[in-house]
Amino acid sequence: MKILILVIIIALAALAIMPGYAAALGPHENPGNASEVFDGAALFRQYAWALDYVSLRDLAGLKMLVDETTFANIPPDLAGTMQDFLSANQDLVQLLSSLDIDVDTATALLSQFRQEDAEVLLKAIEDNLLKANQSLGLAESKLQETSNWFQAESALAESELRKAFDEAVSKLALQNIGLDSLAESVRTLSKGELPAELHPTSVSLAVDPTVAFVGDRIGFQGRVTSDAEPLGGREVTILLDGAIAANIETDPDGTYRGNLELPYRYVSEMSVEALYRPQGDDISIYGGSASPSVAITVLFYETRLSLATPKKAYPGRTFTLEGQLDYGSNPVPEARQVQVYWDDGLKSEQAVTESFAMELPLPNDTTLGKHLVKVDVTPQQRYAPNSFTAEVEVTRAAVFIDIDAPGMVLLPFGLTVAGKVYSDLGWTDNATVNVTLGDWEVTTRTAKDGSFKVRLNTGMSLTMFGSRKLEVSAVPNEPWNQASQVSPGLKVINLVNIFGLVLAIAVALFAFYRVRRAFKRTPVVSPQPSPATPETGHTAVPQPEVPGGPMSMLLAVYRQVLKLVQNITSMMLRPNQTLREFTQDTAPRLGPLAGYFREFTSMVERVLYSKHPPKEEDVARGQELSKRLQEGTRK
Amino acid sequence: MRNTSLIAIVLAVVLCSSWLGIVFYPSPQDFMRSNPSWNGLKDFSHRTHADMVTSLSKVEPGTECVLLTIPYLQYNDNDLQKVTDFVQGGGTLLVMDDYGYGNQVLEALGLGMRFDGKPMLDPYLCYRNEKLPIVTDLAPYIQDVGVKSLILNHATALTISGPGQILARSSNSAYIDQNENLSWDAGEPQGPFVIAAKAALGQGTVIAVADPSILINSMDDRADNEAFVDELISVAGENPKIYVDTAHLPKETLDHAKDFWETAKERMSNPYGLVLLVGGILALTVVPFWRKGAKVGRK
Repeated sequence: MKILILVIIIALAALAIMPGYAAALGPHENPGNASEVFDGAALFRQYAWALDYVSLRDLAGLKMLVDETTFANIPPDLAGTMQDFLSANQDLVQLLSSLDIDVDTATALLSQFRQEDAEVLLKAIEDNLLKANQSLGLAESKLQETSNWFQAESALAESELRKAFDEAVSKLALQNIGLDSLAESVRTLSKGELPAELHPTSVSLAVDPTVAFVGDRIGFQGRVTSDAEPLGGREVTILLDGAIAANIETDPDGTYRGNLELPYRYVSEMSVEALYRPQGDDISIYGGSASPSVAITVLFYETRLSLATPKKAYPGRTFTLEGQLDYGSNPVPEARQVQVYWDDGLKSEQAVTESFAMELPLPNDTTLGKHLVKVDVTPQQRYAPNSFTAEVEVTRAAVFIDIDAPGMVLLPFGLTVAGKVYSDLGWTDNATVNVTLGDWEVTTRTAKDGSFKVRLNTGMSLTMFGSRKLEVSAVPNEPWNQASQVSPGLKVINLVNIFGLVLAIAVALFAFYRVRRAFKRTPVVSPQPSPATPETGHTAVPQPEVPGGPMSMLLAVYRQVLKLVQNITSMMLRPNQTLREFTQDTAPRLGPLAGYFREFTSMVERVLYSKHPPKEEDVARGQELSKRLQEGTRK
Repeated sequence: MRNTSLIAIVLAVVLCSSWLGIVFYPSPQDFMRSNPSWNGLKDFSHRTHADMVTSLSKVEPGTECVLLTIPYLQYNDNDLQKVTDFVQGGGTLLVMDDYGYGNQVLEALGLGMRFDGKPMLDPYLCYRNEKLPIVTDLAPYIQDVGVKSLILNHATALTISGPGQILARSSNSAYIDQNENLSWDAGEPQGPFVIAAKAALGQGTVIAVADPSILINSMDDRADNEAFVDELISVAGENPKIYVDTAHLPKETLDHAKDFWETAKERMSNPYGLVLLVGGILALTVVPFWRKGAKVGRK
């Protein structure tokens, strides 16, 4: 019964301390068991965004969407569909971008009455329009496939799925309208082609010099003719790299002459072209024409910029940019304007000479890490610009703490700690210095030369002796210095505790001595007869026990019987118990044998407490009783 | 058997079984080091050798120290001051929160960053469902160490209104589910949202991440979460000392008991604590003999 209660209590205790593995309600879910949910509305919104990128002719945006599909949660059946849709849109952007340019060019050619060139271009435009329609058709079919998978068309009109699908469809429709509109424009352009009976014209062009510095003026001349007849009083447009640079009127003999300034574009070559575009009454008589392009070699002074930037910079400090402008064998200008950008923000602008050094202050809250410094040398007449970008790591300087402290401290006495705090950038002024030894702590500040001296008071502690870390930390006041910490070892000896320990050992030894002595005094408990009890009325006068005599033999036999009885009954003769009491106590357990034991005990009491010594007959009777008891126990 | 003996045996067995339970029975609680299940922090703490501290007073300040806090319980003024001192003194504070008290910490630090506190879902760029968004827009220096994507788990977003460097952003398809109906509704903000940002403060650095769940056992090794967290920690140096603040995490009785056991072990690891323990056991053993000896001696 007791064991059952024990088991129940233990089981209840175990249940009480063990928490149940209830589903943890936290701000997350087990990704291994997460349900797979495909969101059609989100997918259709991606389609709509893709079509927005098409409208914006943004190929980079589409590329981003393509890259994202690697991580997108799309039904496996639709992964290819999505890729095809985006691919079709990419083709569409390229075709539409090309078409935009080509249509503008064709319009310009036609406005210049350059019919042959326009015809070639219009043919190419029509081919591209066809391809664009094919791409848009592919995109439309992929959108439809996706719609079928999600059953978007049968979804409720007010559902997000349906709304997103409708939005994608409407954007696709807009693209269709755009393409139709473009095709209509092309048809209009084609219809607007000039009548074939226009008189062809030609424009000649000569440029001198064909090698010139930027900013220099170059002369040009030429002649406009039609069927070898000069066309005087007509306007000729001079194009420089395709842009209008000058308009000039021809003389009566069809010739024209003029000059223009080469712009400050620091390229090795520019092209000059003369263009005749019929105006007024000439429109119905003459076609337009352009001269062959003349290449101009452009000269300028190159600027080579070399820059030495520090690899590291520190918040709150200035850093120096050292630069060198090299012009080779070219003349050196008096000064050049230099702009410095820090992570794309203009930080400084100044005029510098051939060699320069610029001091740039960094704010205290500058983010640590890598930053980009860009130095632009701006263009200056014949001197070309140049630029240099370098990476600078903003960091804090490592701070060093030199400690002057004793190698040992006796508790509860304190110690004096002195030292200096500095970094590669100099002493740290007014830095907070914290000195800690275990639970004792003191704070001070450094002087201008980075030095400090402080007394650390200690007190009572459980510490006895051993090594401890003396922790000294410094938090500099300057934003460019990093906080630092040193932890030199220190021997600690606690005099109070050592005294206490010695005392405790002494007490323990004394206690041990007492316990040991007490054990030594404890008598061995043996089945010796007790003194006579009051009811017997006998005085305890034990008979002298002669070795080998009847007394000794009888008691020896009785001791054996006593042991036997103790074994049988599992009862011990207590020190304060008489033999008679023990005999009475064991009687219920001995049963029929109790009589023998009672008789033997009476005999022993008599022998022990009477004046008559035992006889041989008593010994024989005792042995017989012992024998009977032994035989009785065997049964 | 006497009743006193029975009670003694029961007491001993209960104490032993309780102790065994406390030491060996894993915690089922979120973000607990002893929890080897999906929502525990066992893998992270073993990998980084992080020191789980039950009180911020156990955090030693230093420039190569990282204090990672998941503030799911309110901070008191004393703890806020300790965190501020830690950062001002050069430490790196990693505040990882979604729906807890992270804003209390950021506000106390005076930073222009706040946790939105509402679920940030991404139904398109996600792992299995919108509550597990995937982030691919990462700061170049993080991409340089090979981090290409992260998987979040019931995350929120950060709003930035002060100086700071954005470390990770969600995709355009993400949205803040303000009414928590798991569906985008007109008017709900759409991505991209800031997921992680860094700001300098005093001598130290504060990094805020809008999802602490990227640390748990089932998320640590997904996508590049592990490398991302390692990169964040490396702000404090190559082998920084990492403290995980468990004082601001909800705990079960078992967790408190484990904390108590850890504290006791710590105390006992002190040689003087050991002396006290041995002395106590010795006293308990000797006293009965002392008494008995004295009694016998008198006889």
